[in-house]
Amino acid sequence: MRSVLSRASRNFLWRHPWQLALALLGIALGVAVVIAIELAMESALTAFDQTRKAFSGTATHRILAGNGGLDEKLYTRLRVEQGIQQLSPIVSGYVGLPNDDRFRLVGVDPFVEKSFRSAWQEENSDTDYFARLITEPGTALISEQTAARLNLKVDDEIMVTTGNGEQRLKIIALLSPSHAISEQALSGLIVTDIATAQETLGLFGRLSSIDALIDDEASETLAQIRRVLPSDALLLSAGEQSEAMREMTRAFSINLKALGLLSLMVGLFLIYNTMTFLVVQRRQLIGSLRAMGVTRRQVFQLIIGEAFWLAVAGTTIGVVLGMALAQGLLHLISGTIDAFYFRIDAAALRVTPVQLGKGILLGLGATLLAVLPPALEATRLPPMTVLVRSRLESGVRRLVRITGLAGGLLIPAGLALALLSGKSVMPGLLGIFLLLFGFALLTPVFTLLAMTLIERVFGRFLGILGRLPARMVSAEISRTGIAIAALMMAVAATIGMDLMIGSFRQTVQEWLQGTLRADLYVSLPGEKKSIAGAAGDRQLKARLAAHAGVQMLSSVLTTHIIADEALTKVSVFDLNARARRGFTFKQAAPGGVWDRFEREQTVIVTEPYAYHHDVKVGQTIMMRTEQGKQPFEVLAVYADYSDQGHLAMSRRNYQRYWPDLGYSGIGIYAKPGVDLKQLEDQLGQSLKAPRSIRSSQAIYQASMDLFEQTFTVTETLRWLSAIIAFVGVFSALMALQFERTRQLGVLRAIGITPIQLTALITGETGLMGLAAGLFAVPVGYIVAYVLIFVIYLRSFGWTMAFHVNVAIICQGLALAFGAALFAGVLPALKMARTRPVEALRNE
Amino acid sequence: MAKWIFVAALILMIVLLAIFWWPPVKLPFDVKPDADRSFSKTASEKDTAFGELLSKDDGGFARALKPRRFSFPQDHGPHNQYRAEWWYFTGNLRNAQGRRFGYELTFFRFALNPDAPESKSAWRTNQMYMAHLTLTDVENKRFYTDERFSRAGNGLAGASGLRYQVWLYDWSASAQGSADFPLRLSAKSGEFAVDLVLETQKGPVFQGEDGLSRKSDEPGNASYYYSYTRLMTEGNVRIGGMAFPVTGHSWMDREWSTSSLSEEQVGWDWFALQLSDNSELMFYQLRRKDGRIDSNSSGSIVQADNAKVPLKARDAKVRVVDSWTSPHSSIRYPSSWRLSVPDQKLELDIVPLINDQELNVSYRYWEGAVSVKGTKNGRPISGQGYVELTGYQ
Repeated sequence: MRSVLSRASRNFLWRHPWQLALALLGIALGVAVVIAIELAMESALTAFDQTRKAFSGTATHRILAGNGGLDEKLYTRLRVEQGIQQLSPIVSGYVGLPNDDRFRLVGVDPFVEKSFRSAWQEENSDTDYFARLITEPGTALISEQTAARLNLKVDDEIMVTTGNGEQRLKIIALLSPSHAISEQALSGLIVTDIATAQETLGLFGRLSSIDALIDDEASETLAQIRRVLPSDALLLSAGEQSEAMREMTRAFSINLKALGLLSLMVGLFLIYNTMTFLVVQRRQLIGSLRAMGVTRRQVFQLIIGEAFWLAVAGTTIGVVLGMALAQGLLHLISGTIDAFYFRIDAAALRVTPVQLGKGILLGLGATLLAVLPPALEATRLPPMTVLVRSRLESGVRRLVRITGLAGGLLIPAGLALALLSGKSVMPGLLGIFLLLFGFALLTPVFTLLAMTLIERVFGRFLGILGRLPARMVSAEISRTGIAIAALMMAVAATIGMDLMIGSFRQTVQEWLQGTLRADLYVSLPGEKKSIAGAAGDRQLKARLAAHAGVQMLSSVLTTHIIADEALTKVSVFDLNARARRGFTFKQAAPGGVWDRFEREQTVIVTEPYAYHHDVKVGQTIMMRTEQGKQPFEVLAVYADYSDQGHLAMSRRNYQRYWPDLGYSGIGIYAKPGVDLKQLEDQLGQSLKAPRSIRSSQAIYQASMDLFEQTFTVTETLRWLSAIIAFVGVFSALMALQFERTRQLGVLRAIGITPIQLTALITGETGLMGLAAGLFAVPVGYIVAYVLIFVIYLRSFGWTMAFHVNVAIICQGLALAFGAALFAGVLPALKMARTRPVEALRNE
Repeated sequence: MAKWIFVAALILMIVLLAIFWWPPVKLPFDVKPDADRSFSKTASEKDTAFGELLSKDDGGFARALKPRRFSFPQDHGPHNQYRAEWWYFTGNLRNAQGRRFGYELTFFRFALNPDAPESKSAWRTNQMYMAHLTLTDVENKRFYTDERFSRAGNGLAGASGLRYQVWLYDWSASAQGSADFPLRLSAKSGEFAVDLVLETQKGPVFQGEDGLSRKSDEPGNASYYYSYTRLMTEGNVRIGGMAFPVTGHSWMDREWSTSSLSEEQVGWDWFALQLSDNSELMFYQLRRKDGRIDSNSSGSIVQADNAKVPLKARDAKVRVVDSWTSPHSSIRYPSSWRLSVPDQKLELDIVPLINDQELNVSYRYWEGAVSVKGTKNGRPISGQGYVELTGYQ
C-alpha cells in the first residue's frame, strides 16, 4: 500500500514539473537569502577577528589610548617595576604601497612570550630572522600569499608611504599562515620590529597599544595594571573590544537581517502556497484514496513525506545558491563596513556549519510547518466532502473573516511594539513584521471588498464578462488571497524602503549642501598619530594661508580621545564665521554656542552621539587627559550623517590637553572674484600624494557616491525579495489558472472566444495585482514611517525628514500590476490555444 | 481550523525569529586562551625558539686576547663589544629548621651583531638579554625553572657600569647602597621566587691568567673571568604561597667573551665548591668530541685568606662515579664525582642534592646544587656547591 501511495505522489509531481520547479525555487530562494546574509555577515566579523588575532594572538586584554598613543615608558613600568608578565607592545599604522594597496604595518617585540601565539610567532615559521628583524632597520615580514600577489621574494624591497614620508622596507622572511590564522588575515599585514615601526611611522617614544594575556583568575594583575595606568589610557578586555566592534556593526547587521527576514516571510507565503496547491489539486485523488480505505494517518504521512523531500531538495539548492549569493554580499558588506565603520583588511567567505545549519533548519522547518495546515485539512475532512470543492471555499470564507480580525489586532500590536519600545532596535523590527503580517492577514478582506466595489462599478457598463474577473477573484479567495497578500507584502516593503532611502538621500543632500561652506578642501589623509607629522601639516597650512587668492582657512583634525571611558572619535575644529554657518543645531544651549565653544571647556556632539550616549545639552562629558579626567560641557547637538557619532571641540580646547597631531582637512575660502579652478590647480601643484585638493562640489559628489554605495546592499536585497514575491505570485496565479482548465473549458464551450478568454484571465490577474498594489501603498507608507522614525533612529541615531515621492508609489503600483498581469499571460495564451473538448477532458 | 492556522503561523514566526537571531555557537577553543604552563613534577616554564639567536659568526666583535686591568664598578657593567657575557649567581641556602634549598639566577647578555645601530627609537639595539632562574627544593625533590628574554632597549633589560646593576624585566641584581655590595637579587616566577641580599666575605678572584681564562689553544678563544667565591646570603625564597626565610652562601661568576669553545670541544663540567675550611675550589673540565679531556681545562683554589692557587688540567682528576638519565630529555648526565687534587692532598666526593636539576629551557643544560664530603690532608672536610654540565646529548 505504502509503495502505491508514494508512487501516486511521485507520479503526480512528475506530471506537474512546473509546480515542482516553482515549489523548489520558493524554498531554495528563502533558504538562500537567509544563508547568504548569515554567512556574509559572519565572514565579515570573522575577518575582523582574524586580523586582530594575527598580531594580538591570544591576548585577553588591551591597553590603549587616544590617537597620540601610549608613552613607551608605560610598558617598561609594567614589565620592570610591576613585574607583569605576558604583555606585548604594539606600534601600528597604515602604510600605502605604490600600487595603491593599503597595508597595516604592525611593529611587535619578538621577545614577548610565545604564549600569545600571534601569527609571527608560529611554531612552523623560521625564527632565525628575529635577530635581523631587531638589529637591522627597515626589515619586515609579509605572508607568503602577499609576496606571491605583489610578486616579491625574500630580500626584495618595497616602498611604503606613511605620514612620515616615503620609507623603504626590506622583506627578510615570509610568514606562512597556520590553521589558527587565515591567510586573508595575514594578507593585509606587514610585520616589523617595534623599533622599525617607530622609525617608519615616525612614532618615536609612543606605543599604539599594549596587548596583555591575563588569566581569568589573575584579577590582581588587572588591578595592578589599573593602578599604574596613566589617566589618558584605557584597559579593555578582548570581550569589550569585540563588543564595541559588534556594537558598531549591530545596526548594520540588524538592517540586513530585517531584509533577510522579509525575503523569508515572502518565501514562506510562497512555500505555503505551493504546498497548498499540491494538496488541493489532488483533492480528488485523496478523496478516492480515503474512500478506498486509506487511513487519515497514511494520507497525512504521504503529504508530509512529500513536503519533506521537497524541502530537502529545495534546501540543498538553497544552500548552494546561498553560498554563491553570500560571496557577492560579502563584497558589498566589506565595502560598506569599510566605508562606514572600520576597516576589514581582507575578507573571504567562511562557510560555517552553524550558519548553514540555521538555513537548513529554516528551510526544512518552514516547509513542514507550511504544509501542516493543508495536510491537516486534507486528512480531517470525510472522504465524500473532500471531493466537493465548494465545501473548501465556504470554509475559507469563514477563515477570511477570522484572519481579517487577527490582522486587525496584529496591526495595532505591531505599531505599539514599534513605537513604545524605547531605544532597542529588535522590538522595532518585530513591530514591523507584526505590522506586515497583520496587513497580510487583512488582505483577503480588503480584496473581497475591493472586488465587490469593482464588480458594482464595472458590472454596470461591461455586463457579465466585466463582472466575471472580479467575481473569479472573490470566488477563489483561498488561492487568490494568499497570492495577493504575498505580492502586497513585497510591494509594500519595496515602497517602504524606497521612501525611506529617498527621504534619507534628500536629508543627506541638504545636510551636505549646508555643511560644505568652503570653496576648496585639502585632505590630508592617513592616521594622525605622530607629533613629527604635525609639523609638515602646519607648514602646509601656512603656505595655503599665504597664497594671494586665499581669504581665510578653516581646519579639522579627526582623532580619538577617551571620553566617558570609551575611545571616541573627536573632530577638532578651527572654524571661521562662514564655516560656523554650516552647522545645523538640533538642540543648543541658550545664549549662543560659538563664543563658549572657543573660550570655555566645552564640546558639541553629533546627533547620533547624543542619541546613543543619551547626552543632552548642559551635561558634561569626562575626558581622559594626561592631567587627569577633565569635564567638558555639552553646548549643542548638531546634525551629522557621516558616522555613528562623534564629538567636536575647538582646537584651542584640544591643544590645552592633547598633542598637536596636525590636520585631517583644511577648508579654503577664496577671495571674491578669484577663479576657483585656477586656484585649485595652483594649490594642487604643491601637494604631494596622498594629500589632495578638491572642490566642495567634488566632495559633495564623492559623499553622495558613498551614500549610494552604502545602500547597494539594501537595494540588492530589496530586489531579491521582490523577485521571490514575483515568483510566488507567478506560481500561485499559474497554478490557479491551470487548475481551472475544466472551468475555462466550460466557458469556451458556452461560446466565449479565445480573445475574450485571454482578456478574462489577464483581467483577473491584473485585478489581483491592482488590489495588491493599492493596498501596498498605505502599508508601504507605514513601513517607511516606522523605518525612518523607529528603526533608523534607533540604529544610527539619525533623524530625517519624511519626503514623499509620488514616483515611488506609481512604481510600486506598476510593479504589482505588471507582475500580476505578466503571470496571467502564459496560462491565458495556453488556454486560448486549447480546444474546449480537450480542456473538458482534462479532468 | 482557522485558529489552528493562526496559532501555527504564530509559532512558525517565533521559531523562525529565534533561529534567525540565534547567537553563533561559541566553541571551547574560542572562549579561553591557554597560557602554556607545563608544570610537571619538575616544574619548567619554557619559552623555546630563541636558542637560535645564540649561535652566530664572530666577525667584528672584540676578543679576549690578553689579560686586562679590571676596574669596578665599571667591569660589573656590560661589555657590549663582546658577543656574550654573564652574571652568574648560585647558592646553597637553609631555613632555621635546616630545610635545604639551592638557587641559580643568571643574566646573560648577547650581542646580536657587533655594531650598535643608530636610531631615534629607544627600542633599537643590538643587545639582548636572557635570564634563568631555578630553585631546588631538596625536601620535596622539586626543581623549578623559568627563563626570560628581552632586548636591552627601552629600559627593559640591561646592566650598568656606574653601580652594580643588571636586570631583565623585574628580575634584577642590584647594589643596595653606593657600594657594589651588599647586592640584592630579586626574581619571581609564577610558582616560585627568590629575594636575597648578598654580602662579600672575600674579594674578587681573577680566574686563569689575571682574569684571562683560556678555553682552547686558539688565541682569542678565551674569556675575562672573575668570581666572588663566598657571598654571605640572607633573604627569602618562596614556593607557591609559602615563604621561607633562609641564610647560606652564594657564589658569583662574571665572564665575558666572544668565542670560547673550539671546534673539537663539545661542552664542559664545571665545579664551584665552598668547603668547610673556608676555602673554595673552582674547576672546569672541557670535554672533547673524542671523549678526552681538553688540556685547557683549569681552575683555582681560593684559600681562607683569599690567596689563589691556580689549577691546571693535570692538577685535578675528576672521576664519574654514577650517572643519571633525565626523564625529560633522555639525556644521560654524570651524577656523582670523585674530584682529587693530589698536590693539595684533597679528595672530594660530590653528590647532587637531587638528580633532577636539568634546565629544560631554550638552551638545555644541567645545573644543580651539590653536597661535598672528603678529606684534606687526611682530615675530614665537607662542603656544598654547584655543578654545571653542558653539551650532553
